[in-house]
Amino acid sequence: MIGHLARKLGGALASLVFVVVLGFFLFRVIPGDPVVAMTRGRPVGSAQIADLRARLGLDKSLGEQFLDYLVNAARGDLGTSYVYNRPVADLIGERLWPTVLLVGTATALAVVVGLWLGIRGAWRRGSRFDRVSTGVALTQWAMPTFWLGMLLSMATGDLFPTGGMRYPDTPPDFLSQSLDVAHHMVLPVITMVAVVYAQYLLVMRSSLLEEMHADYLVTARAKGLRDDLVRRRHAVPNALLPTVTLVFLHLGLVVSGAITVETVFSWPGLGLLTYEALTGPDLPLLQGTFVVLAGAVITMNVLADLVYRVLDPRVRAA
Amino acid sequence: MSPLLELRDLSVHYGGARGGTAAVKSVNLALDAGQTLGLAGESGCGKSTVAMSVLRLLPRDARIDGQVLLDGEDVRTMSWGRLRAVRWASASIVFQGAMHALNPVHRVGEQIAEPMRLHGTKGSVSELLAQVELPPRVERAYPHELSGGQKQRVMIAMALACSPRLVIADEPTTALDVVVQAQVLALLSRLVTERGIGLVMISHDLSVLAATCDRLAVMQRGEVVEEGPARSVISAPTHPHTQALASAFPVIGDPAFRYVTESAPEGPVLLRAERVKVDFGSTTAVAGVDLEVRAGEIVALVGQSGSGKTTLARTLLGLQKPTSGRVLFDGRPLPSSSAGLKDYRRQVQLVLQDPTSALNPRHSVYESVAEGLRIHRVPGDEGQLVAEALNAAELRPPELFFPSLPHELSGGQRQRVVIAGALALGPRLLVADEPVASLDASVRGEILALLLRLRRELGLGALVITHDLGLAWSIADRVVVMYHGEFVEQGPVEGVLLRPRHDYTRRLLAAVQPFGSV
Amino acid sequence: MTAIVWERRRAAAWATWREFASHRGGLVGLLGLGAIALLALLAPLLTDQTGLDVTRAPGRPFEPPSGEFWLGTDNTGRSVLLLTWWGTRVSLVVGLSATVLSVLIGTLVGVAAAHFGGWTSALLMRFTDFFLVLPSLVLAIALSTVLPRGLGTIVLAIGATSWPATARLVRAQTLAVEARPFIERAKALGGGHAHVIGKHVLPAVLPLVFVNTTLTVAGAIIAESTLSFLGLGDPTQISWGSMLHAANVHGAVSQRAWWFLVPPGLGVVLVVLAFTMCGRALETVLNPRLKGER
Repeated sequence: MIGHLARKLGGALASLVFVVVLGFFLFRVIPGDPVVAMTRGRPVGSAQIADLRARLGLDKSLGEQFLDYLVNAARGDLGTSYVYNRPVADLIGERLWPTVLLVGTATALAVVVGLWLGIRGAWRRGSRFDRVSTGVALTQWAMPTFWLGMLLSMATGDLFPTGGMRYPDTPPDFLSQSLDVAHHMVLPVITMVAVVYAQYLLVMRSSLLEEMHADYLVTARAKGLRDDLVRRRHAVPNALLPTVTLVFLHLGLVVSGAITVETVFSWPGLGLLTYEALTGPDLPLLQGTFVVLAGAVITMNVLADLVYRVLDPRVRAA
Repeated sequence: MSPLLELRDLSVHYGGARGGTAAVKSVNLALDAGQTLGLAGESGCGKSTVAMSVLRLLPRDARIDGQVLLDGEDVRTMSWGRLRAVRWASASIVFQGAMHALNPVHRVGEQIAEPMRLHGTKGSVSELLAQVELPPRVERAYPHELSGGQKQRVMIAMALACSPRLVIADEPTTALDVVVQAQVLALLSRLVTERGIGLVMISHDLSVLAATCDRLAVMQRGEVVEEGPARSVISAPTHPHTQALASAFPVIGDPAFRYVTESAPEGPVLLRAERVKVDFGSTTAVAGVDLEVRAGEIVALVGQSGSGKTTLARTLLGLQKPTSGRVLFDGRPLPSSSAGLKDYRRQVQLVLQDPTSALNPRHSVYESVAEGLRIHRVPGDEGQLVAEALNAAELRPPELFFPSLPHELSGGQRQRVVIAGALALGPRLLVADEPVASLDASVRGEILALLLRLRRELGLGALVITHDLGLAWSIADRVVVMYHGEFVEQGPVEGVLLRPRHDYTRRLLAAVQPFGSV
Repeated sequence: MTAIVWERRRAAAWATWREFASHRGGLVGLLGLGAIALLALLAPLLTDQTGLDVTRAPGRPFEPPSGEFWLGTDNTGRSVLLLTWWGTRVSLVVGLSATVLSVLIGTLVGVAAAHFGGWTSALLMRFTDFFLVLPSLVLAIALSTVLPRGLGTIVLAIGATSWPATARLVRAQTLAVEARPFIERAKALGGGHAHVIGKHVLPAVLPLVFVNTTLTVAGAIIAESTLSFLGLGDPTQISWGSMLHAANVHGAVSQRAWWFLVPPGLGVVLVVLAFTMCGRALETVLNPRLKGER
């Protein structure tokens, strides 16, 4: 267990370092000249270009730049945004919590809805309930998240706010502020849940279907257990385990969802920040969001693996 | 008084409405308390279906006709509530393959206690574990932490949890080593006498049933073809199918089961292993052994699973590199280059345990047999060479089998295809890993006869790897007993099997003897 | 001999088709795809391409549906019907090419990682695992931002970020096949790497790769629309994603121009759904483990 933990953490650390290196490679090496990329299609004076070069440290050799970048990244310094003219790390820090709030709420809801529907569907495979819920899930899964968001905000009209996180004129007390945020969150959360739950439903359903042929379920029935007990006590706990891993493996999808949903609803989180960075294009900012989003997903996966270790006795011993 | 279990004219059809396939046809059986009834038959004969129908555990598309009387009450017409109450409390099942029949994420103790809680039976899990000779700490273990024999015991403890009057054991010892198998059987017999329960024992292995049963029923294609006291059914079978089953489990020491007639020829040494040692990390699979196989000689390498016999075979074939020591063929060390090994493999061929998985399911018989010819670019008319190989493996007429796919053949035919594929390259030595273990009893004899004929006609040497001492008795000239990676005893078959010197050989023999004592 | 083999293969293919056709969802998906592909191919014959030119837009901006413009007009006054019709071409071409790239990389990496063993494959697998965890859209955004805009960039960005799932699947399947005794038999017969991979592994893995391909296309089309929606698409090409981008930027939502919003999105949903239904039906037919399920 300890050995595994050490190995896992070591692996995660290596992955994080690799993300940072990849960030450099993507945003400094591939573009050739980042300044050209950033000023593409805009009239820029040569003085401005020289200034930008100096600020990005492009006058040094690639090797030196790489070293500087690594040292800075290790200190938590992700460079300076070109558009905002502020440290990237500060910007990300401000925008982190709205995203955590949105993604957290949406994922929790999607997991509950998806797993419940998946279990019901699998247990009564081929029933009308199963056919309808699978069909709806497949359709939802086929929908681009942002399109659904746009449709929803058009359809609900003025019922819900369609941009931002709170109104500027809301009283500053905690209750009104919370209610205001919740009011703003309704549409983005519904949009994300609608697309993400389908994934969970399908995974849970097929994993339970696979479990349904297991011999230990016959044992359970032979013991005289009622059908719902066979399901609850024996089939679901086993089917849940592979589902948990898959759910976390698909966390990247949730992040993708966050980027487009925040863009549609102007939710001031990391997703919107990414969008702002890519429209610039503000390469230092985009680099920062890339490293943070990828790093977050890797960290979540390590956590998921540890949780899985605790849940599943078979791997716990190994 | 009505018997504990009575099947009256029981038929089971799969595939929904009328016209489905019949898995069980008009079976009549009865069992009293304190008795053991054996149900014998090959895979697919319907014996497990009979077991499942007793507690109405068959899949929804199964249609049951006739009566299943449990203490005089028909299981078929019970309400769901009554059925749930009867399950496990009146009759329980020891399922085939304890590995999968236990829930992997619950502790063993929980799983044993579950039916007790459900049916309101008093008793303690540790007592039950003690009855099946397991230490109390097993209660806190998960199934994967236990050995195969321990899991089987747990299944038995679970079956006894609600003190049922009837226990059905479906292949309770398959996949267990012979020594453990004998222990589990002894345990079951003891429980029958001590608790006065009725036991239905299902197995494909007559020797298992002979050791435990009072009465025996033999099934074939869903029908009971012979029934009677166990002793008379086995010693004087009347139905040809029973005779075939009985002859597949040879009695060691009985000349009737010794197929080797002529004495071993004194050919030159073909294959020689010198101090071969194979380590996997820190575990030693093969601990420095010497072995010789002569041309035209059949050597049996006997050992339990995990004894290192398969690793040794892979090393002899050059599929596994030895940690130290060397293998010589024709007096020359095994080449290490891939080209040299390729050449070596024309001389030494492998026949695997399970012909079903040894053949690529997508390749026709022709392609499978021609595979070696194509790899080695053997000159000559491919079609004719394939036909000759199939002929030699007694698949006649060969052209008829050319387009067949493995799943269209019987198990015996598949093993013949594997043998033909090996023969096509004209090898001088066959390494056969459990060549008949996965075959139905009735076709084992045919395959063994084929191996002996090939030895006689082609002068082929063979190394037969097996866990089955009876198989060694049937066809080998010499036997080598392997235990924990070492050879504990070797010599001519008659010497080793009739006058064993090593303790382990004696244990192995004792475990398979019950049949011989009938 | 070969005649018999071919006859057998034909029979097997026919049986596979019969089984596929018995899945209503798969059949509907296939028919839908056929119809959409046909429409996309015939677009230059049935419609007038000049209507796509912004400078020669026939209508006023945001005209609701009418007899002249069945699906109204966009923010520049072009027919939404025409744009959606032509957008099909780009979305399909990008989706398919990105999938080919992705499946190719994935299959190569997967087979190599499973077959050769040793530390190279361990490294390959770590590499795959790393990219599998990495949010692919984020990576695709990064790639398409730093590379020059164009269809090639989009294809590369999607293809180079969506292969790990295929690689894992192929690796698992290769490992499963290689654990089967017939591989041992082939090696004992003297077969080398090329023989084992070519004769045994690939024929067993390719059906699954095919299934995976249909599902990957679905993902790639969504990815294309997302990247274009974010403004990373080829500015000279019309795709469903770029239409939605224009709709978002020019305030179609606040103007309630549903006719501008619904058609391109519906196009994505229909095509993705069709591919998914085909893929699921194929999966039940070709993946023996799933027989009788779903």
